[in-house]
Amino acid sequence: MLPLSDLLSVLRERGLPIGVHEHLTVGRLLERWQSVDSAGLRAALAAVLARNSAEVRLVRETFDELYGPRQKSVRPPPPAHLRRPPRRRWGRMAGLILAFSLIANSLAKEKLTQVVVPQTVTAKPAPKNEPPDLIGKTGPQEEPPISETFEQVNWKSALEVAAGLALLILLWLNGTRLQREACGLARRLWCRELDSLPRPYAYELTLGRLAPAFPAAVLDLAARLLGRAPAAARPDDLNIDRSLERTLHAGLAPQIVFQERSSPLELLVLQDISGEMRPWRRPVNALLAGLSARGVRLDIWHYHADASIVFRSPGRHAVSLERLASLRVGSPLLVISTGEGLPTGREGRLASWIANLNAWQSRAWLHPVTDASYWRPQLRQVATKVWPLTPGGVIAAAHHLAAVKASPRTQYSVFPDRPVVPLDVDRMRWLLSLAPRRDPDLIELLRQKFFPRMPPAALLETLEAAPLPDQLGSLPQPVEIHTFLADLLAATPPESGSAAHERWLLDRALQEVHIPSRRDEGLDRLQTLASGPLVGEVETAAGRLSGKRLQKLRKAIYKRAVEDGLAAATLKGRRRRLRWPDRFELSAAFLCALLFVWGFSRWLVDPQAVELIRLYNLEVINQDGRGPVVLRVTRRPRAPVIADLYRQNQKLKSLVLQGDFTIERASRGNWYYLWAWTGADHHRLAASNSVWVRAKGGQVEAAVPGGVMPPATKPRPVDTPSKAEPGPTEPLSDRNLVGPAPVPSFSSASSPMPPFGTLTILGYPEDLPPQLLHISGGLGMPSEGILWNGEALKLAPGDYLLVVHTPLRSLALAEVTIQDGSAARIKIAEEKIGAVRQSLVKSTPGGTGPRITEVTPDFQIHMLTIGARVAPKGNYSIQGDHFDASAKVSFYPLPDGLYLDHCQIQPEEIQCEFFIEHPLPRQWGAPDFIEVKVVNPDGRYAVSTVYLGSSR
Amino acid sequence: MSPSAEFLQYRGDGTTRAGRRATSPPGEDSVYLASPDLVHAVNAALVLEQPLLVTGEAGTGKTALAASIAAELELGEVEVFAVRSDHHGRELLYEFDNLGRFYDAQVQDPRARDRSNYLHLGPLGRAFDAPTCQVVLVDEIDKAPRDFPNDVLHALDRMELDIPELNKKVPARHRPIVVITSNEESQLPDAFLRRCVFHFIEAPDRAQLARILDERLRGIQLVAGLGERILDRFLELRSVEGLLKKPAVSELLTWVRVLNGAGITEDQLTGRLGDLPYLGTLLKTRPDFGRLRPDQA
Repeated sequence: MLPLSDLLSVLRERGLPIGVHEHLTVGRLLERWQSVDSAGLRAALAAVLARNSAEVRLVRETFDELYGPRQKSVRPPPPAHLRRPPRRRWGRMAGLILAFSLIANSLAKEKLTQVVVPQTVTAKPAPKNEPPDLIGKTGPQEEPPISETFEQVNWKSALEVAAGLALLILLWLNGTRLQREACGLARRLWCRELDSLPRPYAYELTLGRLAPAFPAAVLDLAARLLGRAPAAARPDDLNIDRSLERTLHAGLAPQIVFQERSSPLELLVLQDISGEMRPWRRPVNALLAGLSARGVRLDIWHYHADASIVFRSPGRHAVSLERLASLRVGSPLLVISTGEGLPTGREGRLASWIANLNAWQSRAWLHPVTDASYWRPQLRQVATKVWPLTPGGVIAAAHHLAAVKASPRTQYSVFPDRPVVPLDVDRMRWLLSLAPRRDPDLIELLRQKFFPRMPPAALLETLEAAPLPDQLGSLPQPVEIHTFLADLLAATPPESGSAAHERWLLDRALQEVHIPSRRDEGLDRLQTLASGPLVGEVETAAGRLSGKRLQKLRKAIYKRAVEDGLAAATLKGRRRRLRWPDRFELSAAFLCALLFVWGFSRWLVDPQAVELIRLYNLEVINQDGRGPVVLRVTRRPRAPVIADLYRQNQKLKSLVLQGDFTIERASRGNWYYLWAWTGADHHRLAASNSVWVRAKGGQVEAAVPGGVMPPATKPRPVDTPSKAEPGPTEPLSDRNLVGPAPVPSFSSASSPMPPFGTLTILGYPEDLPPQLLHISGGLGMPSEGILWNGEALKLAPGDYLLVVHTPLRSLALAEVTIQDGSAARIKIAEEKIGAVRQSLVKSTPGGTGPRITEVTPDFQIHMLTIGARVAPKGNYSIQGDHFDASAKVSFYPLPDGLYLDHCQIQPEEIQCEFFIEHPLPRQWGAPDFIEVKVVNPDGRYAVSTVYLGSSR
Repeated sequence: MSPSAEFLQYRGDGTTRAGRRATSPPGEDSVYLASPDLVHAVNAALVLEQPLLVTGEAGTGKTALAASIAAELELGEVEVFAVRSDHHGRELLYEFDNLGRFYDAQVQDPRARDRSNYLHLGPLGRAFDAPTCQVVLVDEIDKAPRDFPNDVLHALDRMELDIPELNKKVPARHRPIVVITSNEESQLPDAFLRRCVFHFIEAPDRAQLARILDERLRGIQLVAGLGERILDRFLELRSVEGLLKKPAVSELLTWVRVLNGAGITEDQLTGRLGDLPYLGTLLKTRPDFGRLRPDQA
């Protein structure tokens, strides 16, 4: 593999003319430079590869994609207890918010569903000691209650909370970005400071205690086999046996025969220098250097995984393997490689260059990984014998290359005693987590020191994360290893004052903080380093420290590191300034707010009063006859066509009420009623009166007169109709109420039900239902907001104060005393409402003041006609005399239930017809006017206000 | 990133390897401050021994870069070759005065016997022949004929001075450091671009401008707050859309000098951009003036 070939290939795919020249240029650049920071390499590569500023950007972006911060894994992975919490948690937080929203949404749906549906309370079962038919005989059961309120999302609150949440998220993201930018800038400055320190930038560890990769005897034997060894025969050594034999054969004439000189073999070595071979650089170099020192002539060529092109050294002249084969075919060939370039393509086919190896008659392959289970399966297809890079493997390969039969008594085995087991891998990862750097030689030293029986091939697994130490069985104490590493570091101090020296101090301090006897010294050193150019590395390292005693220090170092670094970067003033949010932040805040509204808004609900409207009439037919009892349903105009029929407290079915509707075979001894929600907002309940179908032979009346169900959750007094005369009535005392008219009273002496009286309120006009705003006194009374349709209100005996409001905005107060069996009747005084009129207020930009015009309100026929002469000639200061026929008229606000049907616009007159769905509910605070605006095509306009009630 | 020990290293902070101030151009008391990216590009060119092609807006310091490199690396004076549209690549190496020799021969001047008397080395030829490494500046190469860039590269590849008039070839003693500037007024050949280290000098940001002003205007004491206001107005002016020639660092330096000499105060730098004093030092074209002063357009 060529250096940075992945970057160059991506750039080539993206349109940059990357060829051999660029590959060689990059190789030359990397060969001659020492890398200190990736920013410099990035800038230099951009300068070398790009031809204009657009290509400069492309190279930098591609570099960031491939070698950006997310791919930096220089340091070994810390064990779990040393891991820092991840900094970027926004993805996790977004997931949490989404999950919470989903849960909240589903719960809220359930909650709202429970609220919106009328809550029917199951009637209490009859006491067991009573006969079952007693209920039917003694009287009707309790009417089912209806929820007084329904809950409606308070969108205003929801939006306010969502806006606040979005603002918080924006601030958080902005703060995170500012911190990231500040830290990034600080790190660049730290790098610059570090760059200004004298060379070298990295220190070398002297691993003197590292055992040699191969025993000298192995190298001697291999070298002797390969033809040039110290123990090989010298040219002047006599071959005594042959000399004696020849002398005897020559008749005792002295014949001298020297030992045969071994012919030196020039060993051609193909050394793979790809990334996979880096951990095994030491044993490979030891082998080649040892053979060379023993006189073996080595012709070493290198290659990057793919041996189709080989070269003496990186960046130098390269030749094809085919060409090399033609030049060096006589030499034995030794390949040292892990076989990284053997498979090609996605199918893992065997690379074609392997066939070129067959040109050498004598060839051998040494695999640096001593455990054959790690070898690539493609190696089996190679027509070359492969041995592991062990003493036994080297000797076997030498025997093979020298065409000498191996001695069976060799003391070196080709493969290690045992293969790599999972515990070896775990131990190796654990060692790696303790080491100051990811140096294969250092790890090998630790292996030799602490786990000498572990196969070296376990090093292969060091790229994975380290497991927890307590899973690893019996292990040396970490303190022992830290002490060993600290001593090792202390023995190899680099040049003082250099960048390498600073790093060496840091690594040493990081080992010492784990040693109890040197902890204070290490901590002091860390604090000192935190004030220098290594503050970034100290910050990173301190973040990995753990333990209670180290927590405070970690925080202090981190704080000091950041402060010192930022102070050095003169960022203190900058980092706290808020920046304008970017698109990502805005999108995230908006998304979170949206999720909140979607998920949580249903929890922000306000109870709204349910308005009962009697739009159905239920009548019992043939209650006393022999046949089945029939219920006749009469639907008023504009009532929902589909309504639910309830018996007692249970819904029977939904009815489609077309024309006159009857319900056959109503079962006796039950309450029946209808209700249906009107509109989509679920706050108006169209209901019928509830009727009691008497049981056979029962004593009670069949129907309850005028029984629109009041919205109370508490059980109401059971209606017990009586044929008794009505009782005395009480006089009314308010000016707006006509005094009580004598109505027949009825006695309730024979009723088993609690005492009660009835109260009838008549509005003005009488068909227009008044609204009972307030009633106080008595027990179990509804409080306010009740539409009253003129039916008799059943009240317990007592004194009551009534506040009644008519649709024409006339308030009435009355005091009334209800006695048992009385039937009070109050009527809104006609003369007090005689001034009912709609007022027309006309104003212009000039302002000529209001003028009241009488109009004709007509609520009774569910149709309101507003006839207003909007622009009487000459009476107002509107510029121009008439409105054009093409004038536009608009109304605002239109009360709920009032719809504009059509407008007829004529000069000087506008006639509009409104459509009223049902009697307009009037509530305090609701707008009671319509603003009419007429705009001429030439821009002149007039605004009038039409009140919907009496004049104020 | 920095080059290894055997290669020269440019720091871009106006100091030499010995730590002395590297003023550029020599004689002035100011140094050239390069951005980190520019420093890396120069170092890449140094280790790769390739020409450095620098582009950017006029006035961003392309030409001054060569002097800065020579000053920091202590390489003596820069050999400058200001390109014209009628230049040939050979003139960068040498010129042979045939006409002078013919004239001398006519007047029986003995110098005419030796043809080497009529050889005049060009900047690159002098750099080849110099006893130490030299910096050669090829300024505004985009003005040159199309063959010129490739001739330059050809000469640099051969690293020798081939003089057929004298029938001799002189090998270069040192590989010169070649800095080539371009205003991108014409497209350079691809082959030339591939063999150069390229860098586009970005317009400096506010912090860098402040550093440059501090360094280049050492002898000028600005009233407190005036420098900040000047930078504000300058950056505001640069952000105006549609200017044909945006003012660069050199215009800013001139403007500051003029403002200081005229005793302009901070208050006089308020108001419309078109009313800025001595606007002519910043804007160089009539349409740009018309854009800022529509009433005078």
